[in-house]
Amino acid sequence: MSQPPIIAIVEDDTDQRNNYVRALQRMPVRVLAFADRQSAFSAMQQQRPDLVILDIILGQEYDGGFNLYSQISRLYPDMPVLFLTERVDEIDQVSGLRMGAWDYQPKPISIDYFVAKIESLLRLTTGQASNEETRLVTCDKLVMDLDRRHIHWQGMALPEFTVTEFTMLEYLARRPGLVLTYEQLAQATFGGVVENNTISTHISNIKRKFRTISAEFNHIVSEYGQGYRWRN
Amino acid sequence: MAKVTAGAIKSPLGQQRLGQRLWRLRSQLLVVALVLLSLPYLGYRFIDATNGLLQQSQAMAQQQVSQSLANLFSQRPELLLQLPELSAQQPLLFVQPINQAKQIDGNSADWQTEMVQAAEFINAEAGIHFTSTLGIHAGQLYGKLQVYDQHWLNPSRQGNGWSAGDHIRLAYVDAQGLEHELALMAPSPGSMNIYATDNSGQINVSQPLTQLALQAAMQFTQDGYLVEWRMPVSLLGTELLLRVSVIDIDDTSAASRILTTQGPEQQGYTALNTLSNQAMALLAGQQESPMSVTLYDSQLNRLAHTGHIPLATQDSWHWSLPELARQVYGRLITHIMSFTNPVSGDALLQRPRLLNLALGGIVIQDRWPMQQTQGIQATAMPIFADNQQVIGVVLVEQAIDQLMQIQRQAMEQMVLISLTTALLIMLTLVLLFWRLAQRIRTLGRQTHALVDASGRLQTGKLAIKLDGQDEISDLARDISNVMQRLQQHQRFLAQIPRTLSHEIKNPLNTISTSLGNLKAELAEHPSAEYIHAAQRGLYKIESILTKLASAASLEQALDQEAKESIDLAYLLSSYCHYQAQAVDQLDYQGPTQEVFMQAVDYRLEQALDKLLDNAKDFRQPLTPIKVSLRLDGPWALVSFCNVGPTIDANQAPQLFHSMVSHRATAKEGGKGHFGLGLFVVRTICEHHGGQVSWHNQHQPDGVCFQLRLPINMA
Repeated sequence: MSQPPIIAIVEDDTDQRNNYVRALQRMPVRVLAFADRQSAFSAMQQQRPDLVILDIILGQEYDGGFNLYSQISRLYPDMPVLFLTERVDEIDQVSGLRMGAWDYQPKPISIDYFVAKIESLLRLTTGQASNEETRLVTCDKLVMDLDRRHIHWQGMALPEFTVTEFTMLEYLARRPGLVLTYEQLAQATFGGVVENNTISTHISNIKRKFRTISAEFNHIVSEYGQGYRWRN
Repeated sequence: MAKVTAGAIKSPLGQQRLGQRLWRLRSQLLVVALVLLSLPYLGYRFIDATNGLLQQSQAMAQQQVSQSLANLFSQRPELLLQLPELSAQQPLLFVQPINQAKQIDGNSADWQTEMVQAAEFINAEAGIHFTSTLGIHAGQLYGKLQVYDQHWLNPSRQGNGWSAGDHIRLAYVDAQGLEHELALMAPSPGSMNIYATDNSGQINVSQPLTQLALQAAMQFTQDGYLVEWRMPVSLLGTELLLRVSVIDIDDTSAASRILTTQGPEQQGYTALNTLSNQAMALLAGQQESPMSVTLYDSQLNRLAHTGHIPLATQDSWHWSLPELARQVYGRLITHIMSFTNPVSGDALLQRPRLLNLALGGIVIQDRWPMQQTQGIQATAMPIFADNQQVIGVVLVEQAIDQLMQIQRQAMEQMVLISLTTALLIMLTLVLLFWRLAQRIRTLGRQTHALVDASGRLQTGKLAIKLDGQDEISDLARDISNVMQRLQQHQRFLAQIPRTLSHEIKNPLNTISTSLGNLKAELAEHPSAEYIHAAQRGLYKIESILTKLASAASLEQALDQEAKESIDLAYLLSSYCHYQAQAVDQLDYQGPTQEVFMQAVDYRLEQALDKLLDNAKDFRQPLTPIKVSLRLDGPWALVSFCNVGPTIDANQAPQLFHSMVSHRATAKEGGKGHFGLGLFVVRTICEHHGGQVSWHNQHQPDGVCFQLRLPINMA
């Protein structure tokens, strides 16, 4: 019988940390909870977790979560990390965080969406996905490798996508021709409250990356007043 | 036809401040200019003081000359004391030296400047009265005869003779001892005819005596008539014997009445007084000096005179610009000098006053004006006999032209230099003030440019050099420092919603995760509905925080987004098409052709969302929301109009500010409006180079918001 995956949670707020632990304890996982960077890194040096959940602000360390991520990634380069943060507007700007199996979840968190995201990440880390066939999404000339998070357009690899962009594109590509509302896209990517223009900003970034390969790319259409649509 | 009320906002404060600033600078410049005016005044005062010293020096020098002459005559009292003895029996025909030749025209005006005594002759019984004044100048003997006769009977030519009439006769003895008598006849005022008379006294009409260089003229006066005559002294013999007769005939039928200088009906001669010759000899040393020296006896008879007062010659004037400038400048200087060196009075009054005071033993000096000169400086010096009696007066008169000339030259130079200096300083000051005002205006403009129309700091750095060392540069640096601190504070204020959002989201997360766990563990519990209600409330709070944070970072986000060419017409039609599915009576009118502009499409969509939300919230139920797009030259005008309450003009200035809301629902805690919508609209519109405005509509009441956006011109 295989050992349950180990999930390490680093959150300085006791109530939040307990709530995460409580939610995860309903899953078949083993949970390690830490309140600060030092104790968390020390423990992780002793035992490699399968997934790390990080709060960014840890006590008096404003970038404690990022610093701990740097330490962990040097120790375990492939370690998947899920950031829990209220600093949504900053997280995509942090260099070095776009590579690898990491994700983030803005606060306040929906426990349901949080659990779903954990399950998704665990599939990547525990080898469940590798045992199955490679998961691909294809739409017209678009090919998305969901496991490796690679995207090809007209046979050429696109620049690195953020997790949000990747998820949003996948959502569009799986529903070609359908007008997807802002609410649908928000729910699919964030699971929480976002402004329409936040969705649009991500769409704009997605288009810009396609146009590095094909300047005439126009397969993501703005349906003004409603949302977006993938046009074949 | 709907009325339109414009939402223009004007403030006269800037103009008022500008006026105050200009007035203050002008006032300062005026004060400085007034101070500069003291330069010519100080120069004037200096020259005035210098002039006083020069005048004093001249007066002292003149007094010394007068004193010397008075001392000279004090040692020769006989020259002054002989006259009363000779004149005891009868009036003297006293020949007095005069200063200048007289115009023989019957007018006594040119005698007025001469201080000469007249001898008076009266025959009360016959009613004849005249005065005689004799003067000598340049070998000519001049006579002035004032006849006090109100009934002048003019003689006229009758055949070879003259009719009976008033006339004058001059009788003299020549060098050969021969007697001559001349008749001076005037048929009318003017030049007189001069005839010799024969032994019987009859006029020899056939032989006018023009060859003797005699000349005479008559004019009426207030008291009678005046006769001026002139004859060479050389006609008289060495004894200078002369007789002047006045022939008065009031009626041709009556006998003539004759009064001579010898007395009524007397035919003898009077010797002209020549004692002054000795005095003249004593004054010979002053003959060439540019001053007039006159010797008077105790009766103020003029005994001797020498010297002359040089008269200024009138320059011929020809028109030219430099000459005109010179004349104007000369008149200006003359005018100025009339203040610093006033010479006033009347020689006819002041000269006798001086002489009379000198007769009282007082040394006195005075000034008076004189034609063709700048004025006269005079000293009257009494001549004392051994017994301290005043036996005569020496009157020295001197033109002050030379002194005035020096003063004038100094004044001209002073005026020229001080005016030039004042002008140069004023020019420098004007340039300095102009530069100062320009720098202040530039600083004002730059400071004004730091703040946008809504009062927000755009940048904290002034776009002018701040490395100067003067007070304006200090002020600019101070303003720049203050503005930078204000900008930091503004950034801090702008960050508050984001900071607040961050700080609140952690406790919200505690609530959210707690509710999530409760929901998972108590899904079937009867109280689960309360958990759902709490989650809905939490969602609303999260939505508010998200909007606050988004609005706070809007400008920063806009700066990072690239514009691209979009079809505004398509954007609006698509937008209204989809929104009409959820919003009833949403009407759109726009052009059929494409309208391209450079924009971030989803930001325009965000602005449309806010305008539509605003229209929905304020429209009356069952009334349409009208959206339109029309073109106005290089502008696209996007309007959102709704029927509903109008906007109070008092609210207008804050309408597009952040955190300003006039919704009643905000107070009631409804959907939670924070007045961010129109702020977002304005920020996005201005980011695209456009403007947002509003106006009220009437009949029915309502409000229109309009975006004015620049479009791509073909």
